[in-house]
Amino acid sequence: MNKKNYIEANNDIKVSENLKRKVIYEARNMKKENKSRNLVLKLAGSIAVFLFVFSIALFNKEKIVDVLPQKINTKLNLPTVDNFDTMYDILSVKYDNNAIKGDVILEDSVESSVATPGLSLDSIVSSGSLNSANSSTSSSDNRLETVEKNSDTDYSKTNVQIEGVDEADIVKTDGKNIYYLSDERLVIVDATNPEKLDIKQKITFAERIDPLELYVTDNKLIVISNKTKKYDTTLKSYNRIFNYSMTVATVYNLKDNNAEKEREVEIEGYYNSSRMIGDNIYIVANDTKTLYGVKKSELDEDELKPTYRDTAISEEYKKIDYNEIYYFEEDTTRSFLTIGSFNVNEKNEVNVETFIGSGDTIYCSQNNLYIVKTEYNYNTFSGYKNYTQIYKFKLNGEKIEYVAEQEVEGKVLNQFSMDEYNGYFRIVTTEYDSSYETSNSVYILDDKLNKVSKLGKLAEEERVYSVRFMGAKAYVVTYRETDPLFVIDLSDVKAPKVLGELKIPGYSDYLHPYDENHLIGFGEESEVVKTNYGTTTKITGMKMALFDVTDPTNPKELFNVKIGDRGTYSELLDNHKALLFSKEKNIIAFPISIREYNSKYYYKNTFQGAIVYSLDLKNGFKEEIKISHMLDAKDYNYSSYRVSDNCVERIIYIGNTLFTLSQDEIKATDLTSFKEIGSINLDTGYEVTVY
Amino acid sequence: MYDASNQTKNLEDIVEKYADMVYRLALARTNSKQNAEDIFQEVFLRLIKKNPLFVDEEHEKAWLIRVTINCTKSLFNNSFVKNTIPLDQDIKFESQEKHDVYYAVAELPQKYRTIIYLFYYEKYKINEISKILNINEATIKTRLSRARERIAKKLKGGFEDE
Repeated sequence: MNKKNYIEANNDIKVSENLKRKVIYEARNMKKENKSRNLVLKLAGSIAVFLFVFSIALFNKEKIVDVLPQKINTKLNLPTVDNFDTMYDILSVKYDNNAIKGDVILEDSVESSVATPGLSLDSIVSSGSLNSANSSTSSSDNRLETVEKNSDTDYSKTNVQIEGVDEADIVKTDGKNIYYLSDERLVIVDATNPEKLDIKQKITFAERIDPLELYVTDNKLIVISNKTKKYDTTLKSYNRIFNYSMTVATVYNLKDNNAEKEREVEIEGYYNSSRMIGDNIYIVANDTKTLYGVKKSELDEDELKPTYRDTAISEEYKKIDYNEIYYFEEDTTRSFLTIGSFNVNEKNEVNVETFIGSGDTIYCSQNNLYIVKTEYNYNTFSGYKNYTQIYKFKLNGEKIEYVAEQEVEGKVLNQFSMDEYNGYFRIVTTEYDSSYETSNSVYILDDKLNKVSKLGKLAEEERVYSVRFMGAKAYVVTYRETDPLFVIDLSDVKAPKVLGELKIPGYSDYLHPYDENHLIGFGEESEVVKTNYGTTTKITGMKMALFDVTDPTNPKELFNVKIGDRGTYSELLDNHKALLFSKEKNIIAFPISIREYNSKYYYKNTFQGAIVYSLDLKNGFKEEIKISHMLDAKDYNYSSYRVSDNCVERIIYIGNTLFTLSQDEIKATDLTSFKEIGSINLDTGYEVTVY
Repeated sequence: MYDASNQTKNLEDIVEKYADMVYRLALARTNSKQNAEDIFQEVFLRLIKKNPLFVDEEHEKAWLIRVTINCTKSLFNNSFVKNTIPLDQDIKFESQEKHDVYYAVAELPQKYRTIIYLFYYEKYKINEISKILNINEATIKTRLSRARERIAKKLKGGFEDE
């Protein structure tokens, strides 16, 4: 079994298409220049480059600082790049640092050459953006549920971290219509009569556009996409500067019962994440612009300028001047971080701020945006270390202002590892050292990001699995063999302390507040297995538990439910947006793929769909219904999670009707009787009939 | 016969054909996605630069494996670091079993990871691995059996009882 699993696991590991394309482009360009050179030249060249690379590896930081001018732009209080020469130097420093200047390095010289284990910009962009777009969880001061009461009707909203700060997702509803982005198309379904669902509109996208997430307001629909850039063949450096993607926000007007495109805003880079507060939307994108063997003379002066476009002003792409590109002195990454912000109801041009830097995870309160990035550092004396860089921006309507930056040790898990409360920023990190020993810390920083205090050495040899801040307290789950739930008191910012801890088997990947004194943990159950060689742990299924933290010094697990066996998976474990929770309606629902073992070795996928629970503090969890979109039990076995067209992805409600959504179908279920009352096939628009 | 003159024409094909292999091997050796991606680029750029004449497909593949290994060597000169950098737990597999076995292998020292990958995934024989890695067969055998022992300690059943 293990052998087969190892092979299959490797089959799952694939290199991204972007990287493949990038290497093809690079190789092509290199080939043009790759006229055969005589060996002496090659050798001389390789020695020169070796020395150069070596010196850069040694004096990396100084070198960069040398290159940058110290001009401070007062607008954001940060130094700017200022001119083409500096920009070129910055981008080529990064490039040489990675030691992939192919022309002159000989195959044989590689073994001895010193290559710094540089971070690939692309990898940050590609892996970082995925993770951060999905991951998260955390707290709000008083907002404990995701329901908004409306005088006409009530309906569910995306499960967000902070009340009033909306997060984009693949489905949204405004109480009348369901807007569902699936299978690269947007379907708008009229849900006013759940017994007779009706497709109002289907929006498809151009080939180069990859729609990712959406927002809905009273009168606007905003779809966020990545767009592959077409190369500008008029540029001198055509085909040689590698930036592929623009992040596009397309605004549709929902007037007259019809979504009509009215504005497109494009900023440079891959989409990382976004937030929406009121009518203002903030989009964060990461980008890399790498120069592979491009000489300065081969470039026009303004070719390195990032571009943007706002069709509210003009159809044309505009360039951002070098004196408007900022950099952080501490940051040695050579990539662009772009923040675009605009008001969807006004026609002011999008406000674009470009920085040299990058971000993995963002946290946004009502007033401030924090962008963090985990970096790795290798030092001969202290070994392998990771640290997290934090950038803070103040949100001022549709504009943003840079406030401060700070660095803390360790790595953040996701957006829920961060929180802002009474002006203080709190962050939980996990530090790994050279021998893979871990320890966890809570940092408290003030409004200028000065360190106020640190609670360290939390759960050594374990790592953080989930965090939730609730007001002055933080709940942190760490794990190795058992799941300690820590209750941490942060009310004294100078002296945070652990109040209590609870050890139970398994761990929670996501903590959701139920009320002031109770939390629901979603995670996995594990058991300690004794082997001939010692003990190890084994995941035995998904688990949902209710924690009572009324007495913070003595947290208790009141109830728990185990779902399925090993191999059972819910998107909720990775993405908080997959949860539907309403205390008022008493619903806890999430998509799930259940696997069960008939014997020790044989398992079956027995269910894929939505699972709906109710909860009361006396009797615990009760399974109300399971709703599947698969017609035949056999389908379960073919549904290798997430890939099938009829895997339920999200659950929402409008009034007293629950809607389950899969790529092919939407089903309506009555919340009182739990009977199916309607359905629609999103491909054909017909009601789904079961034969 | 691999014809060097039509290399550009075949560039996409070669990248397509070997991309995953190079990446998997680089990941197995470096335990870091970022480093694996850097190495991935370097390997293919070197292929173009060197423009080697391959005798057959097997030669082509072995060359890429060899270059991938060389590239990873230069990354870590310090063996302590090489063997102890943990692989981030963020690679998603379709099942827990796959996850467990992949990470069990990832925890082994680099020299074992490489051999496990070549032997079990690429299905090379001991004598072939010996040629590719330029290490004698007896050493490969020892390392393979030690790697299996270590895996058996971590995973029920190990690699051999099936």
